[in-house]
This record gives sequence, structure tokens and C-alpha cells, in this order.
Amino acid sequence: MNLFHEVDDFLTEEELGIVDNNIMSKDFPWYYHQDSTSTLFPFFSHVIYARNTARDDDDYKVLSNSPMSHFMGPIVNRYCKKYLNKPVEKIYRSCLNLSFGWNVPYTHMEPHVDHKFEHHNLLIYLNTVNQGGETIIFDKYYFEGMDTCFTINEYDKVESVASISAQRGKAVCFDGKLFHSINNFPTNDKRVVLVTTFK
Amino acid sequence: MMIVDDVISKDYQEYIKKLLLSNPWYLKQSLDENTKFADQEHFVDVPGWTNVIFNNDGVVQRELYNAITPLAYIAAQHVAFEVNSLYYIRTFYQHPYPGKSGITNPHVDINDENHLVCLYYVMDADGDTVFFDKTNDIENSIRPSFKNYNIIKSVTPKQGRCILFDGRQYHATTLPQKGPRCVINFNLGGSGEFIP
Repeated sequence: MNLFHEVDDFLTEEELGIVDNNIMSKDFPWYYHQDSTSTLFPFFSHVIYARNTARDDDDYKVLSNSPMSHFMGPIVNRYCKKYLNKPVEKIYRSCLNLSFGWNVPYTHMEPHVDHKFEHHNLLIYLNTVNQGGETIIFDKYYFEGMDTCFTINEYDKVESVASISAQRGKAVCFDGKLFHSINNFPTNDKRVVLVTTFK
Repeated sequence: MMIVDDVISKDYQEYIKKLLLSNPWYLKQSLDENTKFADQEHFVDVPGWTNVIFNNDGVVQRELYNAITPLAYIAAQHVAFEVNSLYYIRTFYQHPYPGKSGITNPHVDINDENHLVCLYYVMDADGDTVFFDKTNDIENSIRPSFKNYNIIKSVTPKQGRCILFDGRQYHATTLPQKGPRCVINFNLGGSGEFIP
């Protein structure tokens, strides 16, 4: 069994045009987030569907106030129908994340899961990171009662079992209860990814 | 040049910090300036984040403009500068880049207008603002070579701190190493101590 499924060149020419001319443009709004898994790894984000952090279960509805829902919706639906053989039942969270390498003495961001309930995690890389910036999957699976994040003091409790390079247009999907993270970058490349959690 | 600490109240400082960090930012791939001397110089070019609040077209971000502009008028009083026009109000955000350190390209914000710069630090940070021993000639505004230069002043960012200086003075930023650096930059027209 594979821990993850990946498809190169998943985006259409039209979608790549939106990436180049809209998302990567100087006019695209990004919002600063000091907190990711902790304050050590700040990043910028453009939320398309906000997750409900007040609930541990999946009994909530999300609404979008971003026009990027028209970009993201067809991509996630296409992936679901083609590779999971079903339509998207529910979106839990979707956002565009932009990060640079972090000037901290840690090789990667803190391993985490996005939700405590069953979900898929679909990443679409919107640019290629030449060195570093891989998505890492760890040898830990979330069970009830666990924390949703391994802190920097707990890095010795997890082991990387897969590393996925960030390649423009690539889609990667994995069980959202697998702890995952991002490798730090040794350069000032940026990493832009569309993250969607769903069932 | 004048440095004023706590130029506005602590409450106003916190309000501005919260407001700026919760508003959108726009990525600028390069903060560098075009110069024919680039091959001879050793300054660092990095991406940065910006938000234009006021420019030649007027107010771009009304909410931020209303909240932030009084700061400039309060600060200008410290140098008896009477503001009669605004050229630019912009915010800048930088964070540490692994393996990147040094000074960004020396520049003036406006080449062809006398102006006062009011540089306000939104948060405590490293990444000093540095000032060079060169000034811009308004009548012949060609950037000089910085193959050789002296730094005549270095100012460390501190929340609530403001630097007021003649806009003809070449200046630059030292890349932050420890954490994010956020400033508001006002380019003000008028008359007073720093404008001949």
C-alpha cells in the first residue's frame, strides 16, 4: 500500500495560466500567519474555505468568500472523480499557502495533522522548489487522545517515511491522519501550494 | 535626522501592529533597484512583502490610510515640519532568509522631489536601517556608485520608534536574521527643518 498518491502535471494549461497571471502576480493578496504549528514557522496564506478550529468533529459547513473557490473546486473534483472514483462529498478546508525557508535550526516544520477526524489531504504544488521544501510523511498516525502536533522537543519520536518534492502542477493526496510536515529550504525559494482537506 | 521613540501611544502602536498584520500583503519579487553599478557592488536582493496605502493616484487602502496617516502628522511635529502633501505611504514586511544576510541596495524613495521620510517601526526586530555618506541630487538624480561608501548611521528597529530624515539621504535595510521586520514608510512633502 502506498502512503500517498501523486500525479505529475495534474493542472490544465488554463489552470496554470491562473497560477501565473493571478496567484503569482504582485496583485494577489496574502495574509500573514505568525502561527502555523507554532510561532517558529510563520507563513502567508490566502484562505479559500476556512477550517472550523472550534470543533473536533466534522459536523460543520464551510463557506468561501474568496473567488479562488472557482479555481480550486474543479481541481479537487477532478482529482476525486478520476482517482478516488467518487465526487467530493465535503470540503473541510482549502487555502493557498506561501512560505519561504525559515531561519531556524530545524530541518522541518513540526509534524502535524490538520483535523482530528477522517479526511483526505490533497496538495497541489503551484511552483517548483529547487532545493528543499518537500512534503514529508512520518511514521505516526493520529488516534483519539493524541496531540495534533509533535513539537520541536519531540522530533526524536517521529521518523520520516516518505518525502515528496514540490513540483509545479503536481498533485499529491494522502490520508489526512498521517502526520506530515514541510522540509525547510536552504535557499530563499518560495513554496506555493494549494491545500485542501475533504472527504 | 531625528529618532523619536514611542512617537505614538502604546495603544496606538498595538492597534497599528494588529491592523497591519491582519491586512493583506502583496509579494514583491525583488526589492532591488536597477543600477548600472550592480556588478561592482555587493548588496543583497531578496523578495519582500508590501502594501501600498497611498500613491500618485491617491488613497489605495482607505481603512489603513485612515488609521495610519495621523502617525505621520504627529511625528512631523517633532521636527517642526509642516506637511502639505503626501507622496507615498507604504508598508514593508521582511523575514529572515536562511543563508541570506547583508545590506539591501542603497536608494532614495523619490528621485525628483524634496521630501521628508518618516520611517516607523511596527515591531521590535533586528535588521537595522543604515544611512550612507551620499545624498541624491534632485536636479541630476542619477544614483551614484556605491562601490565605496561609508555608513554614517545605523538604527535598530524598535516598536514605536520613528526616524525622520531628509529624503535625499541614501539609505538601505540590513536583512533581519532573528525574526520579522515590519515598517511603515511615509514620504511627505512640505516645509521644515529637513527640507531646504
